[in-house]
Amino acid sequence: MSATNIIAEQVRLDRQLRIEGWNQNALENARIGVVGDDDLLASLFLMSASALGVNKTVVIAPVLNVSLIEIAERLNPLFNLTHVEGYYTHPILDEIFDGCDLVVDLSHFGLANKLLMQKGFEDGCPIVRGFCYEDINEQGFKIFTYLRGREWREIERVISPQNLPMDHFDDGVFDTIVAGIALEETKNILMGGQVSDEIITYSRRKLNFSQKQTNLLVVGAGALGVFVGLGLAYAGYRSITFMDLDTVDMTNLNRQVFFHDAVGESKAGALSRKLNKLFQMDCKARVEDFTKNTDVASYDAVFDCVDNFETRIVLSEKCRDEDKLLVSGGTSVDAGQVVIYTPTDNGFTPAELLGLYDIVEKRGIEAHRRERASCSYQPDPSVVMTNQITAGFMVDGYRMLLHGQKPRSIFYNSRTNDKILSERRYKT
Amino acid sequence: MTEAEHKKDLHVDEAEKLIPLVLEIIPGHAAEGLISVYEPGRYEGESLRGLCERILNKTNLSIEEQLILEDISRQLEGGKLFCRGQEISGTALEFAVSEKTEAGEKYFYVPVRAIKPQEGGIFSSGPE
Repeated sequence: MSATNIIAEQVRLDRQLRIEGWNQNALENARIGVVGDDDLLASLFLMSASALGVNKTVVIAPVLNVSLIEIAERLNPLFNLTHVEGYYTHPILDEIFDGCDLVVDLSHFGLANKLLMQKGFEDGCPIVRGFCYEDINEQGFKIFTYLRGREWREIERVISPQNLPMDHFDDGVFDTIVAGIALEETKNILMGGQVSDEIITYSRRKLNFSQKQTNLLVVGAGALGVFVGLGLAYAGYRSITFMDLDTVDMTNLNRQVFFHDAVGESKAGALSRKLNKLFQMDCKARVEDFTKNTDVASYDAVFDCVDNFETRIVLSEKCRDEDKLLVSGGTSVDAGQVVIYTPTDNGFTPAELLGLYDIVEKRGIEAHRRERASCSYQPDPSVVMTNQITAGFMVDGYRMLLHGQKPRSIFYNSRTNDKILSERRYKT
Repeated sequence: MTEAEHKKDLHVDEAEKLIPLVLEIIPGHAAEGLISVYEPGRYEGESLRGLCERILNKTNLSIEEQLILEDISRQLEGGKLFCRGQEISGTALEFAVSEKTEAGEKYFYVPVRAIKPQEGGIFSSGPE
């Protein structure tokens, strides 16, 4: 790799290198094994791992998603993928994981799960297990990190009931979240951080099959907007307008995964172009900021993917005044939240619920504007995981609403054991 | 907690309302918070916010409780109190679920969390 490329990679990773205690070398030098059995989940994990700066991966899976792997390779010039086509069904295949620091098991058949748990026990190799599931009434996902010594009975709950590879429930929106949480656990293992000692679970009632097409506005085409766009595409929505005035910067590329070939271009334009190409969608771009004068009449719902509380307040007020459904997301390095405003419920807007008026008033709007205009600002650290996780919950919340289920506010925090707070108010 | 898990706690009749209320204020996603128990007749007419303020203004805390209170205060710098992901408007009973002790005694439980909203992007909403 040339000196120029090394500098470019440093710039690309700038926003995560700013995190206190961050150890990029641990990611760059690690070798990660991945087991998959469908093209999407393993590929999403690999794309995000590449964005994070993981360089060496070895995968056993029958097939990978060509588009996502191409993105992984173009984002990170050092990304090296060894792909063994097939299923992980015999211990002899262990050899390909020699030298791996950990194995990520994203498969849906019990034989692979058990073989990997056995490997983890015998070799002391950490196993990060993540998968989607469906039963009679519910759909959801589970993630568990096995370390030697964690031979708990609960492990049974993360072993797939069917022993051999076969058709299974899969969902691109859940996959995006599972890949993000599995990568978070992977990063923590590699950097010597704390991993969750609980099975991380999320579930909701099954969605019915009817898919109503809606016209959507996504405000903000940065990290959150990219993954909301991807999630909406996986969920089957085809008519999306992305609104953002910003252009793509090199330092966006550790998390805004679709922009590897779009530095200097409009984010809204680049994102709509990419999704139209990947999913044959009808995405449009509005290269402008959202203001109180923005016309939202033609949209059925608005997704708030902005990066500042001031615009979030404008979005809340606009959607309240015009009776628009608003799905609001916000992220940091290790946390995120999703709050959904439904006009028919006459509830609090995200700005009201989250107390944004108080926060903005305290820090002073004018001071904030001056700071934003200054070229000497200190960018906040940011990583890919919290954005893809929060975006996934935003899209799932929206489709729950369309299927007649009540929205839930989600608070995600990667530093805690259960990670996902998803609670609803129940009147006694 | 799944919907099914919540639903099993929702069978509340009038007789059950004469039971104590356990209110817990939890910093962020932590597992444990500051707990206060209110006997029947001491909480029904009060707003949930008022009950929370009473807990947060407590003195004579143990060292462990003081540490939890400090965590809550850190979250409340730029954060808010939420109950089940919602604004804590109304009475505590509106948010309560019925639970039982190991000895079979019923009580109402209300978990309130102090959470800092995430902004994203250029400006920090402060350290966690």
